[in-house]
Amino acid sequence: MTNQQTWIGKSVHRVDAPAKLKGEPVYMTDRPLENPCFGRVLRSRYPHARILRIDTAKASALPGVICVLTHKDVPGLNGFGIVIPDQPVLCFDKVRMMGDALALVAAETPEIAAAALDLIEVDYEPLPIVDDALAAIMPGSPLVHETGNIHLRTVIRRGEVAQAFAEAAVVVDHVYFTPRQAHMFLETEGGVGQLMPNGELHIWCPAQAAFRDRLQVARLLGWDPERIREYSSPSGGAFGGKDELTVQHYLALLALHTGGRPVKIHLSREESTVAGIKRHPFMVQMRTAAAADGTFLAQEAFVVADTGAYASLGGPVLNLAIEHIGGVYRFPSLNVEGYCVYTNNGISGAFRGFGVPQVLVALESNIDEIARRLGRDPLDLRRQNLIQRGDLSAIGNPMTTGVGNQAVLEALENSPTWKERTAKKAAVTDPWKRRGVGIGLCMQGLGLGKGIPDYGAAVIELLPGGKFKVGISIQEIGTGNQTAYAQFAAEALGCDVADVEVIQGDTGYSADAGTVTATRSVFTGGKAIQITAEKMVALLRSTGAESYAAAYAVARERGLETKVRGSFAWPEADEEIPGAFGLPHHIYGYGAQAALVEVDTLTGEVQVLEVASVVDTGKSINPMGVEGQSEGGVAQGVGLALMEDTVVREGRFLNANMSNYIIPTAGDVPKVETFIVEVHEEKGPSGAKGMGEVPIVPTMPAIFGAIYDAVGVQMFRAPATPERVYMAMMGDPSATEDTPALRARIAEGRRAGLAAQLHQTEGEGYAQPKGPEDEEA
Amino acid sequence: MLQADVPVYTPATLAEARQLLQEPGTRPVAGGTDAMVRFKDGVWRPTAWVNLLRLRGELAYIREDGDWLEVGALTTFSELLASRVVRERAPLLAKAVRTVGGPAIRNMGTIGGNIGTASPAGDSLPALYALDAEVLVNGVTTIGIAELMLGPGRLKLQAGDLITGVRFRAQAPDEVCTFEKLGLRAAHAISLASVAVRLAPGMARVALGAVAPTVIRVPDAEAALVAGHAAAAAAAAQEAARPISDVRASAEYRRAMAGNLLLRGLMRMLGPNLVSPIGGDPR
Ligand SMILES: Cc1cc2nc3c(=O)[nH]c(=O)nc-3n(C[C@H](O)[C@H](O)[C@H](O)COP(=O)(O)OP(=O)(O)OC[C@H]3O[C@@H](n4cnc5c(N)ncnc54)[C@H](O)[C@@H]3O)c2cc1C
Repeated sequence: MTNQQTWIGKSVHRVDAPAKLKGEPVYMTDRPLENPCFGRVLRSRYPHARILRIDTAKASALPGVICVLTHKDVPGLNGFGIVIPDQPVLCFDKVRMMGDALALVAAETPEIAAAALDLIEVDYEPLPIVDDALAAIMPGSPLVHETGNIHLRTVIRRGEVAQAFAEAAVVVDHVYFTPRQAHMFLETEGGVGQLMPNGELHIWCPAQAAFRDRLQVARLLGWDPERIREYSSPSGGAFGGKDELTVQHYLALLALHTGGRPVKIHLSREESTVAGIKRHPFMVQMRTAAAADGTFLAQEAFVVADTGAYASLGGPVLNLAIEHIGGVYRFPSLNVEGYCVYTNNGISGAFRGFGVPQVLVALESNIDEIARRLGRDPLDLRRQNLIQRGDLSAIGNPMTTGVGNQAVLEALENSPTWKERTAKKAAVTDPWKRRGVGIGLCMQGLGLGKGIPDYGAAVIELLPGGKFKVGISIQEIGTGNQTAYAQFAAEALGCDVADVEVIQGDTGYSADAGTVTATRSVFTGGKAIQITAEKMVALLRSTGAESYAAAYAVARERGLETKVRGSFAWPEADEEIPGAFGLPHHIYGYGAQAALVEVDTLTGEVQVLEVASVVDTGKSINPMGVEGQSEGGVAQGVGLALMEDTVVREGRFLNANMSNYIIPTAGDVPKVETFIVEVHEEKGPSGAKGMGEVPIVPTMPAIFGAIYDAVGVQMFRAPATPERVYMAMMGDPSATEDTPALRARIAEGRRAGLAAQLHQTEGEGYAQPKGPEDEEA
Repeated sequence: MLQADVPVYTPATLAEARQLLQEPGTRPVAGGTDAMVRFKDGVWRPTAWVNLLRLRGELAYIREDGDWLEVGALTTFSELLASRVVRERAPLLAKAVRTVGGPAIRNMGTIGGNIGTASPAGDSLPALYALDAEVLVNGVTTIGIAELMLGPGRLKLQAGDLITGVRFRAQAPDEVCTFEKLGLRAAHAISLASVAVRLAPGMARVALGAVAPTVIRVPDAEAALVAGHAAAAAAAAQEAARPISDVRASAEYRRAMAGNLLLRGLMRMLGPNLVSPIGGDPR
């Protein structure tokens, strides 16, 4: 783009920085309240049990208790869930996970509320549990839901797979496991609910989907959504973990029983870990074939995702993973079969990357091995197989939008981490340590995908003095989109960023622009603001005024509407992928990373020393913001690769707080150098795409590749803790999980899954796709 | 009893504090970095807290007494690190203390509290064992650190007893020492295994942390080191370890690390050529 821009592309300081830096109570769970009362949620004592009796009499009688509610107090639909409402608001017949809610208490103090929870009597009849996703598919497994444990099965086949494997010079076949990563946002789930004097219910709750939340709350109350107002921004981090309802439903129910007093719930870290959404743990068996000249021939995968007790976004997570099973490479043939299954292991849902990191580590690790076996440079082999614009992706999607692969790979190749790798590796200080460099390339579908309604909308209001208020439902969850929105508005309106106030996440003011997920927020908000700003410019013209300040006066005088609205629909692919709900995407973000690690051969400790992080953003709206997202993505990726896992044994959580759930500290996060590549996206606002999820996706494979480069062992299970790395280096046979027994279980799982698919009734909410050639599986 | 109902007394003198602690069910609190965590979790629910803050005038000090050093129980980790006396005359303790938590924890956490918690993973403890430290009780009696530690969270103290300080001989200028800690990340990490080592001609001290119910000294490893056998010392350390498996690590790994951390420490102190690594070159 050659035209001069004032705000777009500038590293504008974040508009929300001063208050956050000063420690002001910007988050809704920190704000002081007048005459509050405090809510608590009674969680299950068993991961799977029938509920025989709930008695709240003693709790209700405790002085200081305001109300105690159970399923009997849910006036509307006792269920919620983004795709299918299979999660009870308050359980009535049985519990399926430790985080299940049975009752709510409001009391004068948090401690009285806690004491009241202890007084609620619940009789359970414990049921057998299923805590292994592969086992959940097998016949005879305990059923989490009566309809069966398979929430979704997706199969995509393309090309002559069997022939390709027969003709291949190299076939690599491994099984990988990824962890139940927790979002560990700074601000745990919480909020405030209040019945207002005008009869409206107001909910202040950090969230990611204000209008959808409102709809879900209206459904469970049996109310008109218009009577509910959710304030959902800002959030002290979300990363997908606040995409589903978190506490809004509890706040809504309690607020109807507190006599108009505000009721506050704020989960402890432990409760957040047990009850909140997690990243889906995946098992990925992946078989990749290449010709002697390095051309990739076929990709075959069997994927099992553990969604825990309820669906939430498990189906779409599985499908996005499957969409990216071939990464950024051409694969003329593909055979992928995926399951998203119920277990009693808490609940999984949306998390930055949305299934893609889980499969990319398998793909990129397989590719590294192909390179080694063919004696090829790993970067060069990747280059040879990159998708070009106009090619089909592995699932057969024509890639017609801005493909950033080539530019991203070149930037990676030129990064000091890759270019100077030989010298950097030799610079190891202690002789018992070894250094290595690894790489990972990725793409990430942006927006919600084919066939899923995906719209953007904004309002812009002209204020006295020629200032503006921009209303958009998409929340500020810490990514900096508030600043980007101010930049878009200032650019389009020809004003200063300081003259724009951005109101986010308020259903009473902002237009419904959907969720802050799927790396869609800059694209959606930017486009919506640009379209809406045109109407504001038209308003200015219609007044004949020279300035907005003058226009405001004229508009008031003539009684003109000073608030304008605009909306648009996301571009989507022409053809859907049969049998795969929501696939394909149309626009993708691209990224690549090189990681330099140092492994202590005496302990297995891995220190990530530096990461070169390349992101194709389309036009970078705020390069400083992009760097922030890139560094944060790498930090979270380091955690995913090396440290983080919510350990659940027999349905119970073993490391629910941050003394044992390990996330990286400043001392563990490498030096990150970010390289921005701008491959123009003509359908995006000012050529922008989006990038928020991209930087977490290639980190794990880059680190795994670097560990191999350093000490010659491939990690197959994340996180690669010191113990796992050490045991692998020692050649400990128990470190190898890919045994004949596992292969036999996988084969059995495939047979059982197919059989179940043929018998299981269709899922409640959306099509259960059937592969065309299922019979041969 | 609700948390908010637990009274906190803040005595002004040691005598007053001891008086308050005679009351059954009371518990002292110094920096509170362990106490608050366990209080919140309901693990510790004393009938009253006896807050030692105002005893800092009496009990926060670092004193030289000829060959001996004495550290008051309420001395914080940050104060220990800031002390030139500690850095120069008890470098092992300084090395250990540097690995505790992060700056905020070191600003609040005290050495008396580290002893009081009696965790086998307490990071100052292996150093104190290797220094043959004596713990001062009520300002009058002393007890050897190893004798004091009975097990996780258990000390050989009477109700109302307060730890008032800890004393040990200063390290000799010609000795070398190291503290090797293995945790799951760079800071704010609970030790999976740790080793404190001191070496001088004819003298060796090896203490292991987090691989047994208490910190342990390993006489066989010490003897092997005096005889110049690094690998034998490492094997003795592994032999002596009685680790557990938990969510952080397996017993098997912890046992291996007891030896490897000792080797790593020896290589760091003496140079890698003196020691052939059992980790080897995996390729
Ligand atoms: C985030 C975090 C990180 C941590 N990291 C580490 C680490 O890396 N390494 C490590 O070793 N520890 C670590 N700890 C634990 C803790 O900081 C230390 O054990 C510290 O030394 C405790 O000292 P304190 O003064 O805070 O003790 P307190 O919490 O006040 O007391 C601890 C116990 O000792 C008793 N006590 C305190 N003073 C006395 C006394 N004078 N006489 C008798 N009994 C007494 C108390 O009654 C209580 O039982 C960490 C803690 C946290 C919260």
